[in-house]
Amino acid sequence: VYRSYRARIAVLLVVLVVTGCAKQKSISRDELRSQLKEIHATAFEAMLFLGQVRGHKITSTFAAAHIHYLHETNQEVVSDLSGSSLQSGPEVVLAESHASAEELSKILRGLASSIDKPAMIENATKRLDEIAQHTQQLEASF
Amino acid sequence: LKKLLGITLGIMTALGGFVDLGQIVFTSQAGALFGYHLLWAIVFGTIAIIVYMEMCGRVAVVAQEPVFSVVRTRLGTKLGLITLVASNLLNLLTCAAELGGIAIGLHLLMGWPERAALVGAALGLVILIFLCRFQWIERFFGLSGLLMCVFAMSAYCLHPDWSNLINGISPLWHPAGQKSGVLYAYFAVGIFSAMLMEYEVHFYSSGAMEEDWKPKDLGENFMVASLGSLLGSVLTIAIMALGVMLFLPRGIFPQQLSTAIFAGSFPFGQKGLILAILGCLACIGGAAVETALSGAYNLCQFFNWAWGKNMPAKSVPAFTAAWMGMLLVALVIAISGVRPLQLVNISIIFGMAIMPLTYYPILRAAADKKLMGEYVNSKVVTAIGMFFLLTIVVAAIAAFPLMILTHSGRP
Repeated sequence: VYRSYRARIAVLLVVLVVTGCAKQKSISRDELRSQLKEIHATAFEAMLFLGQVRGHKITSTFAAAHIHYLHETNQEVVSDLSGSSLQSGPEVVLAESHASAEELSKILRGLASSIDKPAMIENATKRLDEIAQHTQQLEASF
Repeated sequence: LKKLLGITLGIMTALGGFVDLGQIVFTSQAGALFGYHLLWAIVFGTIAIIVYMEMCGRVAVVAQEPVFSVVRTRLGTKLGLITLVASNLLNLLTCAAELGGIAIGLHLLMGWPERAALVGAALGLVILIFLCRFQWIERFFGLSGLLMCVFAMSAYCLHPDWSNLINGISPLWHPAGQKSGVLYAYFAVGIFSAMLMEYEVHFYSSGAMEEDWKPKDLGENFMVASLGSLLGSVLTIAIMALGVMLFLPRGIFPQQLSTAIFAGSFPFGQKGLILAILGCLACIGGAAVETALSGAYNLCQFFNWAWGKNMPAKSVPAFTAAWMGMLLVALVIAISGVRPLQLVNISIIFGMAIMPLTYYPILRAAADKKLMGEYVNSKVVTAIGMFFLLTIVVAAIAAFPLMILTHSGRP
């Protein structure tokens, strides 16, 4: 009886640990709003910065490093949003926020390696603008 | 010329304190969130630091007692020891953050990998401090820190709204909504704290003794404290103005040193950008040196060990080992991968929480007729000092709750 009691406790502990680890992160509406703000702030900052790059006001070393830092900042948002669930409110907003953050990461990653290509900058600026507008709308609708 | 160069102590102290890594990013965030509405916190902090810097310089010169000796005699050994441990922990965190900031600056300037830049920066500072006399250290960082003027020029060229800027001096405005109110309070406390960081007065009073000031130099003491702090204040306002003009209208929340730097040279070309990076490197480097030396000064002054940068290293072994140790441990913390801006956020709030323990003994000593004789505080200066001390106590109590409530200032 004693051994079966210990075995049951052990099984219960394993189940608790596994379910605890597998549990989805849940974020509040306020936290999601804060993440949305961060996404469009990063997109707007990247646009402002690319304007400076186009005006030849930024050295290439600085440009590559700054874009890399922006990418790092955005990656934090991506990892905070991935695998999360919303405590209350429409899940679709969370999914769209996550997609926007990933899209932003993709653009910044691409820019870091080709910051000296004007066509690439032009294209990236348009896409950044779209992301910024979209996430601003999401925030407003939320 | 010697008298003119004497001002560099005030400039280095103030730039290393006001315009360090944390303050550069923090102030531009405050501008991006609240416009000029937190300008009063800069003005308030500037007056407070001038009053206390002058007081601790005067105590050091007249009583021949640097700040940490004052702390020990006024607070008693137990509370003094707690202050020593807390202050040096703060110095260590700040020094680690500043080393990280130098590595970022070198990465932006030269493209060197950050870790290699970190080790190189720490090694460079050890060599510089070891080889140079105190006066040359303060001249090097004080004068090269003047390159930060490019930030002020950048703000001026972008045509700030002067009437809005001047209205910011009034602390009567408050944001609508509870969340914004708490965030506003967090930034007000943070700006005030960053301007009064303890290491500034520790470094300044020890510097006055390193330079062998005498009571006849007390006029110079006030001038050095005022001019250095006013310059630091103008540059801090310029950084806030750049945040207001460039980031606020676009909804940008600057989170990187590089963001503040490109704002600092926004209207100019690549040469302006390089000057802005060099200016930041000088100020952040100055802050790293200030914190490392302050840690050594605090330790030696508390235990009454021989100290002095102008003494041969062999005759002050504890002092030499202490500042080298500070830089080494700070390097280990910085290289462990903790983000410099995270560290600096913690150190600003932690610094605020323990601030009364530094400023109370200074006020008591400067108002002590027996100790100071004819150089004792006037009643007006004591009253002003008391007012700022009360403000420091209130801000110290509010600091940690505000940090938790705002998730370290996240909008």
